[in-house]
Amino acid sequence: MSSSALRSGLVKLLQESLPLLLTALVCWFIVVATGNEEAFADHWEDITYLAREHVVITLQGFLPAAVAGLALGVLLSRPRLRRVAEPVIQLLNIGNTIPSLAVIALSMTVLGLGTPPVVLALCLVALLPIVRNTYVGLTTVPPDFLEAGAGMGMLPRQVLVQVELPWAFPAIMAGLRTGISLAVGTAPLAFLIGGGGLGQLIFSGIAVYEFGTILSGAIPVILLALLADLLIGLLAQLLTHPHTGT
Amino acid sequence: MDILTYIVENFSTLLDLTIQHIVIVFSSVFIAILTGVPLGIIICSSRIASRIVLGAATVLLTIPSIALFGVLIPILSPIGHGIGTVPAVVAVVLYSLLPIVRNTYVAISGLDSALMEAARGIGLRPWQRLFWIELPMAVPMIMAGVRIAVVSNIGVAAVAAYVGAGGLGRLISRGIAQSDPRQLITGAVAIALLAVLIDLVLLQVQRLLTSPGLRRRAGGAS
Amino acid sequence: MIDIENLSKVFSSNNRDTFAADRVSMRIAAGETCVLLGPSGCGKTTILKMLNGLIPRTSGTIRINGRDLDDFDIAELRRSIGYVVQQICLFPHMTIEQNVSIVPRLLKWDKARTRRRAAEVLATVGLEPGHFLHRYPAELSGGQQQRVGVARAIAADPPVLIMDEPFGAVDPINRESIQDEFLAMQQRLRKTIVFVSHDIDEAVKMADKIALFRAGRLEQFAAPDELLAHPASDFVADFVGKDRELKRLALIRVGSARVADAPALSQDRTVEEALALMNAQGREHLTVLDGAGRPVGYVTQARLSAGVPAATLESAMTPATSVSLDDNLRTAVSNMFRGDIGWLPCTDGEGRFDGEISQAAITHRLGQTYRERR
Repeated sequence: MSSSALRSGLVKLLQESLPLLLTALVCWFIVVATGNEEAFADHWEDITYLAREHVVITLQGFLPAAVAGLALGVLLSRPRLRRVAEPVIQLLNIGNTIPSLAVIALSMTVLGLGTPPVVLALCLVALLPIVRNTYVGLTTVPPDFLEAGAGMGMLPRQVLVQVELPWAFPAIMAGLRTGISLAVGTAPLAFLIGGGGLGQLIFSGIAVYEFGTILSGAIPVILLALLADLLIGLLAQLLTHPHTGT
Repeated sequence: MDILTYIVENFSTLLDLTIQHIVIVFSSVFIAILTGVPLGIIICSSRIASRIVLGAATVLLTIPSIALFGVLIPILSPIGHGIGTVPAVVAVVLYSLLPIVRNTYVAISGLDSALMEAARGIGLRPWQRLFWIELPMAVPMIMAGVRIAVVSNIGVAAVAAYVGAGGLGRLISRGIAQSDPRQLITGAVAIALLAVLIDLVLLQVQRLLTSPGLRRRAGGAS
Repeated sequence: MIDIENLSKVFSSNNRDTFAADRVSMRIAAGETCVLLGPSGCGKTTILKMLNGLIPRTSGTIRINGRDLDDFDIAELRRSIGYVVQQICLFPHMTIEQNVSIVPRLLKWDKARTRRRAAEVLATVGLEPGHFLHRYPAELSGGQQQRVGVARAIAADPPVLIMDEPFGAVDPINRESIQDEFLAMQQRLRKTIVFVSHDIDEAVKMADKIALFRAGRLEQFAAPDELLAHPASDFVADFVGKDRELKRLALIRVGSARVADAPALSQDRTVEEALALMNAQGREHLTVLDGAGRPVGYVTQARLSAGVPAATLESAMTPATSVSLDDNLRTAVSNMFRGDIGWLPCTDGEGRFDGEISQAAITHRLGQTYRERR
């Protein structure tokens, strides 16, 4: 990789991480302005432990959702399933309007307390946008491309891998981005049904009205959410331009 | 059938909570419209301003709701509103700004420049262009933003029950605390239904507010 | 009347100045159609947009009906100048009636008058008001939208119209007829029109005066026939094309090149009578007429002398087309080529025979302007 490409890559990285850095700055300002530096330091051990737990449950929910969502989106977009696809997508659209707290609560009534209902809820919340975007991306490939692929003698599977998926790639990445941001946004609620994570500091802080504890939970949650968004955005760019390194 | 008896017995409470929920969401989104639409119009004239405002709003939207409440509590407590309806309203306003500002900005900055020059050339003054041409043509996009704001904030308002605001989230928080599946399921289903119903209603409102001339064009394009 | 004096427009970018208008002076008389013509980037659109202040002037003055542009309130000025653009730009969220009424509304006309006027102008541009008033632009064809665009511009009856390639977006098949209708409308309304075009044929057809620009400079400002016959520079000659004489054909009416004393005979006369007449006048051919005096065919001396087994001209003649005195020479030549014939009978307004036109007469007529110059 040439040095100029490296430099432009670094500039890009800095640009993309600017929101995260600025938000961190603002958060720190709030901590200082409300006089909670010490409380923050006191909670440091809790923060690191719970943050790890937080990331683990988020990934436990998101990763299966990503795999299942992609598979389902591809399946629904196949010509044989077109007739069922539209009603299914309509249903997903409706499902998408259901608030995550409701999903968490309903998941609890099925699986009780603990990690399993949390993982199920996060998975469901993240699944919908991934399926929908994959499906929409794959069904909006211009017919000319499909014909060109078939005309060159590609098998349906080769058309899918070499023509359709590359075309749908930006839409799929946008779906994954929405999915992870919904999972990350729902994860703090996990504490409510015994799933752990940084929500513990926020909710118990609110219960005892202790700003230091609340901020110790809220700020890491905010930064993790922005970090997840940043990482998936960078991943998308890396995969789009693998040769330029940007 | 416990749930049905619960609903029947507590119908007036349920209705109260639903109304509270709707009031929180709609009054906040209303405030967001009053501020977001002008903001979206103003930033059309400056690339830098639009990047800053839209960037900030995007960051805001990425923040999970309970974390935003967590940050708002210490900020709002000095004026005596750390807990209650105020943080709920502030949070919903903040979350609603992005879809409304962004859609206003996209709609108005995306208007055909030849069309806007024609409007000038005909003799419309800036205010007349705004109210006769730009806003009416932006209505479908702005209303789509409002719809997204309202529907997604029904969920935010539900979480707001944990910072002491009213609304249907109360049923869920109480249901979890008391391990009472009746309240829990009633609350969750009521919130889900409310979101789906309001989405449908707002879709109709959006259609009504859109000029038939724009509707046909949009229909022709799809 | 529009007076342009020393008008300049300089665009600066990267420390380099480009003249979109370079000391342009011209005067457009009231009721005249002036076409601003030139290759793309020659500044014609910039000059047009300076007339209604869409583009600010760098220097120079523009006076409309004697009043300096600087003395107008800019919005008021624009309302007094009808504006038609290539992209048509009807407002998609307004009905046709609302689109057409927009300037009267700006001028605060009362409702009844605005409504009456909207129906009136739609009829003027050839659209049935009852059918179109309450439709939306998206429901109309390109040609219909263009008519509405013109209707919107003339709704408040402005004395001046400025048009930026107004027929550019209309397909070639409809363009011709819209141009014809516009010409007929202008015959009645007698507006002062400034019209941008890049198409020499359109300019020749529509203009009383053509202003030809190159790189912001006014190369020639003249009537179409003058421009075609006497290009002021090599650039003008190049721009109007090598076939400029053919273009002039469209400007000259058949009537002005006609030979009046041409022989003709009714179709019930005999072949002998026809031969006698042609011999007497020294002609190679004559026109055969029906009972009402309309040309229906022709006979030639060569064929009749070769001996035809027919008594009357009706059965001896070859059918022929004719051309009206009001048509232009281009139509006449086109008909001659189609019929593979060197002349055509002419008809008057009622379709009756009135002389003939020949290729020699056309050549003579086109050459007239050069002989006068010499």
